[in-house]
Amino acid sequence: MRAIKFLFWRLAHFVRRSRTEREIGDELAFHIQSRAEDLVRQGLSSTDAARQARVDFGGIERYKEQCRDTRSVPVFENALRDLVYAWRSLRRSPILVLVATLSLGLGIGVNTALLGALSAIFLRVPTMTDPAGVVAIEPGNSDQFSFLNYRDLQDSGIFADVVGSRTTLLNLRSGDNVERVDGLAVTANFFEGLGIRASLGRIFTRDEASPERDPRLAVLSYACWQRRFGGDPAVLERVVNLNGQSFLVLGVLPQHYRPVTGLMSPDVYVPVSALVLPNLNSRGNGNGLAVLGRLRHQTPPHQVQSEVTALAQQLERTYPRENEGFSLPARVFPVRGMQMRGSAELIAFPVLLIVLFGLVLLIACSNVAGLLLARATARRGEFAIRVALGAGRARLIQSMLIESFLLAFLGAGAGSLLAVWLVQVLSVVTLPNHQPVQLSIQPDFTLYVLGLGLALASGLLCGVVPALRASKVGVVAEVQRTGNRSITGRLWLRHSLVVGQVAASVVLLVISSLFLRSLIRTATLNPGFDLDHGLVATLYLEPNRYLGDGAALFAERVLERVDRIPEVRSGSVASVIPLAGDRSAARFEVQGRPTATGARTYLNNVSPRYFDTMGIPLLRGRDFRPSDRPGSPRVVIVNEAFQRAYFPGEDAVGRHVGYGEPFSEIVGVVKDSSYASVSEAPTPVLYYSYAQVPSLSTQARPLMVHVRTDGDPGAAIRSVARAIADIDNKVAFEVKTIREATTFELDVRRLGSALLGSLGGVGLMLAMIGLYGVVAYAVAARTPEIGIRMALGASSERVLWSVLGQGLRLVGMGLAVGSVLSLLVTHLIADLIGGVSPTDPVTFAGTALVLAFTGLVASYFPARRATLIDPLTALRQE
Amino acid sequence: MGQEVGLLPGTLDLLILKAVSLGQLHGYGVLLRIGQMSGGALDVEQGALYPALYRLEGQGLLDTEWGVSDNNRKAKYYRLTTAGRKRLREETAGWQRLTAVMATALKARLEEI
Repeated sequence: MRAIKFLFWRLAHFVRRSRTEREIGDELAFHIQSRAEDLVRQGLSSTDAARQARVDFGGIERYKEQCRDTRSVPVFENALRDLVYAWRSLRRSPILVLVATLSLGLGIGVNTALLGALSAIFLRVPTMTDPAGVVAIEPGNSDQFSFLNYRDLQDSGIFADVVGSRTTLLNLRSGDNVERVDGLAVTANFFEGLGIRASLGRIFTRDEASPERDPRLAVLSYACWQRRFGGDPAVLERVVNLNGQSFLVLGVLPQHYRPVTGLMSPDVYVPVSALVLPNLNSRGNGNGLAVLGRLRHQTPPHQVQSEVTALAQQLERTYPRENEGFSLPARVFPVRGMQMRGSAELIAFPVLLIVLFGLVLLIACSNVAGLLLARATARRGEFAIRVALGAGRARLIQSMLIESFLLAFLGAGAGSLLAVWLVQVLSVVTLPNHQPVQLSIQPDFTLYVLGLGLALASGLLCGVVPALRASKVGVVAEVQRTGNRSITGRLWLRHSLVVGQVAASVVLLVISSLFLRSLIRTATLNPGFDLDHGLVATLYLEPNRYLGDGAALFAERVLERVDRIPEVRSGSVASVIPLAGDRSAARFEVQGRPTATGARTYLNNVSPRYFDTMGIPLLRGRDFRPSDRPGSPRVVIVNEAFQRAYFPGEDAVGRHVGYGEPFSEIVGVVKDSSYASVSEAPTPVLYYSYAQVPSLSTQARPLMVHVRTDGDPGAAIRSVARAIADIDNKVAFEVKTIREATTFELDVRRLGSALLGSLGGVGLMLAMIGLYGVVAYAVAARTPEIGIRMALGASSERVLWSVLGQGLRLVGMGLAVGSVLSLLVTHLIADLIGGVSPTDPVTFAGTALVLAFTGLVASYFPARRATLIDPLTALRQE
Repeated sequence: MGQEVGLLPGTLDLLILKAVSLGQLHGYGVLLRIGQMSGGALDVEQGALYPALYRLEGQGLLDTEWGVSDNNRKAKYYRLTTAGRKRLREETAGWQRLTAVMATALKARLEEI
């Protein structure tokens, strides 16, 4: 503390005193000496002359001061002086400093962390040279470019260079250990085209990695190199086994490389070739690439857009079947941040977070503003004296603002500690998914700049009103005022602050409890399949060893083997686990009926007995049979929602659907069950026979083996795992109970609810601190009045209720305002709180109760103190 | 010595500019020069000279430089800047207008109004 004071003192002196001071002194001394010498020449003695010269000159110190005043920069200097003053006076109010630091620290901390995380997600620019000159390209039908289409785009010359990439699952095998890693198949020119270099070794070049050369080259991400290879530099030129093939490791990417895939960061980069993307040479969308183009010098984006559209139209004309819908206007967008594919939900949640976190900061600021207002009222006498001594209004405002900025920076200090910690917590949060999403955010420069900005904003926010109020001080009135402190008239501002705080925390609480309610509702909803007797194994096959119907045959062997396990009642295969964060959709049409282009439905490719295994009742028709093989008539099963949507009032069984010839016959209808979300309304699902869609099974998608057990499924996990390893020990796989496997949605909601719930708690706490402050202050201000009342015989009960009533009135007003605001807000987020109405009465009533209770507690303590007022002491104060 | 006159507010600056316009001077020199220019009739409070000098320097009308005086001491010298020269011209013109107007006004007799 002393050190800081010393620093200020030194700084002030350094800035002003040392040099100017010496110069002024020298100059005036020169004058006086010269004058004295002249006087000596006129005949005075040197002593007399020196004295006379001084007398003639006048008040030296006064003139020095005037010289100084013309020199110094008063604003800055006064600011320094005010800072020292503010520091001293704040040291005498430790409670104010504590509450302000905590409030603002919380507010600034959580907001800094949130904005830091959001900017890391949404403003992230993938590593590449000149990202502003690179655009992402999508055909108008929201498909991706197949490799052949990509080639045509590259050859068209619209762009200086076009690169493509596709995520793919790779089995990384070393010895008997097989690990599934996230791969990115990239076109041969990917690294060169984007200007990406390796930090160790090298990247592959356009010539050596072209698909025709059967390239077996790999570049590792830094994380994969560390995790899998212990950061050993000897990994270069090593041969690794990916999907059963030998690949040569060429290099390792830099540690802070930001991949083009956004938050999903691939472990291994391999060239696009038939080795990793089996149906490379089919024009259809099966193996689409995410495509980026480097603009030719000074080509305007809109021109590029129309050129791409023109090319896509030509591609649709030439390949009408494979490129259906390509004629729609192509989409060209910048590579910065998440590439928004029109997903409103993806935007809605972050916006909601920003608003809610902002509310917390507002509550925190109004807390501090309330405290400063009270302090300003208490210091009116002091201000009056300063005004009387010549301080201007601006000067008073400045000194008050400096105090609030000082508090804000203390808060920002605490807040940045909190933010750094929060960011570290956030950066390790992974969403349970097939592809773990990692928010690798570093507490970097941006974060501190954000913190600083928020501190400045909150300093201004909480300081400006009290400062303006305090500066309007009536000198005479104040100086004359001695004992009488009846200041209730001035309280309306603090009261409205508290009402605002309560209202804001009502909004926070309502929204967070809606999320919580939605979570609880979701957790108890029946997904339409049996959660208690199922296991699911996710198998990552090496695609090249299971070409054609190889995967289907493998699946049959697994099922055969699993069926022999005593605990297992039935087993089946599927391509999608419902509610696991994964989905698969495709276009389809009903035979003999023109359907709108792009009608899509959810898909699942399942084997016979899937519905038995999952406990989904078959309503009409039949299940798939082993005889539904490739070559036999193609058959599908639909759910009720599909029947309702496309065959209302008719029987779907016997009808034909599909995507062009050959159409598949609907042989059965099953009961609805959840697919992507438990809370959603039943959506149409089309079940294909797994054995009949070999092309789908050879994609780099895992194979799901579902098993139904008689008793506790957990007991069968090990035997199922052993059965799979026995058949092929080169398969990467994991076995979970169906309940564990389908918690993706719940996990996401849990995360959201935990986040919003803690936010609501923080907001409530801050608002209650504010309420407590106001009521306590009002009690202090009303002490004489209460004293008189009690002297006149008011019971302490009456006093208690009168004070409580004041606090509760504020809570009630805040509650009313907050509820109205909440009603306006909640319907905007109806999509995010599936299963719960935005006007859920339980939520609103619960929030009101919680607030009434906490409001009562916050007002009780000051009210209790009011009853202890001794009338005599109180009156003597007067 | 003639009769001494007190300075009108605002005239000190003009006198300083004028004094310095005749050649580079230190503070004491400015005082002496003003004395010479007015024939000793103007009573300049000695100390008051310095805040005025500092103010004019702050306004960019004067330049300063440390040098050595005739009596071999370190002294701060003032010189007119271009802006100072311009200001001197304007103020002089203004002053002359004012004195002319004042003179006319004070000479006025009832019948001329």
